Amino acid sequence: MCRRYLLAWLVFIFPSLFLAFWTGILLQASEGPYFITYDHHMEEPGSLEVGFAPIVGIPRLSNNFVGGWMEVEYGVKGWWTTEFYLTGQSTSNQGTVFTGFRWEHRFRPLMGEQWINPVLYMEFENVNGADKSIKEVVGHDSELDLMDPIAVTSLERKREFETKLILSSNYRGWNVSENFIAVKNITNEPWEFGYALGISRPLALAASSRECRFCRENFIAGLEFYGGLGDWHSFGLRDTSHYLAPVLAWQLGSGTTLRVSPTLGLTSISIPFMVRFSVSHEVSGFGRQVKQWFK
Amino acid sequence: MAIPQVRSSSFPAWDAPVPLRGREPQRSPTQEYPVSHSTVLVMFVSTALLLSQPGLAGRKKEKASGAEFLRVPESAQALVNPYDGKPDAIRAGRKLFQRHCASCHGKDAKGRDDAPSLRSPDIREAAPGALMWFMKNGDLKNGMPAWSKLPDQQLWQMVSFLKSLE
Repeated sequence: MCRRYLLAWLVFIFPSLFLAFWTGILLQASEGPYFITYDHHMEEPGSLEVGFAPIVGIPRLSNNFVGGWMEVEYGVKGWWTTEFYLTGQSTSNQGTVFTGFRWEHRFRPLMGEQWINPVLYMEFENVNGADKSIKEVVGHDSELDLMDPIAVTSLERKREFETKLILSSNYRGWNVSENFIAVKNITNEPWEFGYALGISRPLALAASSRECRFCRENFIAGLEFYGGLGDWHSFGLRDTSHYLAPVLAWQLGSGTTLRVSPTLGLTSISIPFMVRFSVSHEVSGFGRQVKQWFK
Repeated sequence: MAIPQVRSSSFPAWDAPVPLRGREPQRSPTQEYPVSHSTVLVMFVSTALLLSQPGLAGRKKEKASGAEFLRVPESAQALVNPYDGKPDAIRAGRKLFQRHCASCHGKDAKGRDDAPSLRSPDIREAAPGALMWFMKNGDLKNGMPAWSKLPDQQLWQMVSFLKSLE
C-alpha cells in the first residue's frame, strides 16, 4: 500500500518540482485561493502557470484515496485563458491509475471591470470512471460513486463537455464568485447541473513596505460552498451532495502559491471529509520567451 | 463498524459487464440529444479559433500613448490617492510593481517589447485616479491585464510609486 501511495505522489510531485525549479527564476504574480470556484481574474497574457493539486479523501463506505491533478494554465489574451489538466488517483489496497485529461477555456466577454463580471467557461474532459479529482460536483455525484474498485471503474470512459457561467465581483477587498455548471456526457446521458460559490479576502488590504513572506497581505482566506443540482430529468437538491470548504492561500513573494482546504460533506451521500492541497507557480512572460527561442 | 477494504487482484475479463456506478439517471428517450465526439471537438476548436480572430479580439496591439487615459470616466479621474506623498506607500508600491508589473514593463519601468515605459510624461501628467482606474480595468484587448484582483489599497500604493518615477 505504501509503495503504491509513494508511486502516486512521485508521479505527480516529480514533474511539478521539475517544472517549479526550471521556472524558479521567473516566478512572478500569484493566484487566488479557490480550488473549485472560478472568479473573473484571468491569467495575464503570455503567463504560464504550473500547478499540482492533490486531494486526500476519507470516505465512509470505501477505501481512502489520494486523487488530484497537474495543471498548466496559459494566458492567451487578456480576455482568454486556457488550461490543461492531467488527472490521476491512488486508492488504498487497489492501485494507482492515470485517469485522463481535461482542457478548458475561459472567455471574458466584457472588457472593463463591472459590478458583476461574467466569464464563459468551456471544457472537454476525457477521463475514466476511476477519476477522483472531484474538480466539480454535479448531478447526483455521491460517495457511492467511489465504491467500485479501480479495476472496474477504470474501464468506464467518460467524455464530457462542460460549461460554466462564472459571475464574480470585487468589493472592498472581498471577492464573491458564483459558478453555474452544466455538464453533458457526449454519450446518451442527460445534462447534469451543479454550482459553486466562493467568498474570499486578503488578511490585509494594503501591502507592507518591506519584503516579507509572512505579512498578512500574502494570505487570503475564504470559504467555498459547492454541490450538485441534479440532472435534466430530476433537477433540484434531492439526492445530491454538497460541500463546505474553508480555504487558505499563502502567496509567497516569489510567485509561488500554496493552498489548503479541509472539505466537509454536508449531506448523507457526500464524502464526509477531504483535504485539498495545492502548489502553483506562475512564469510571467513565458510566451515572450518562447517567441524569442524561435526568432 | 469496520470500513470494508476492497481488493482488486486482477482486472475483469474484457467482455465482463461494467457495473453501473452510483445512481443511474432516469432516462427519457424523447428528451435525449446524443452528440458525437467529433461534433463536440469541432464546436470546441472552432469557437476558440473564432474568438481568437482579430476582429473579435479587438484592435491591433498599440503602444500606450496616453490616449488610454482619455476613456477613464471623470468620476474615476477625480479620485484622490489616500497614500499620496507617503514614503512607505512608495516603497510598498515598488515592491508590488516588482512582483506584478516588472516582467512586462521591466524592472526599471522603462518598458519592454509591447509594454510601454512608465517613466513617461503621460504617466506623470495623468490624474492618480486615472492611473488607478486603468490598472484596475486593464486594456484586455491590447494585452494589459486587469489588476482588479489586487485590493484598491495596493493599486493606490502602485500609483504612488509610478508618480515617484522620474
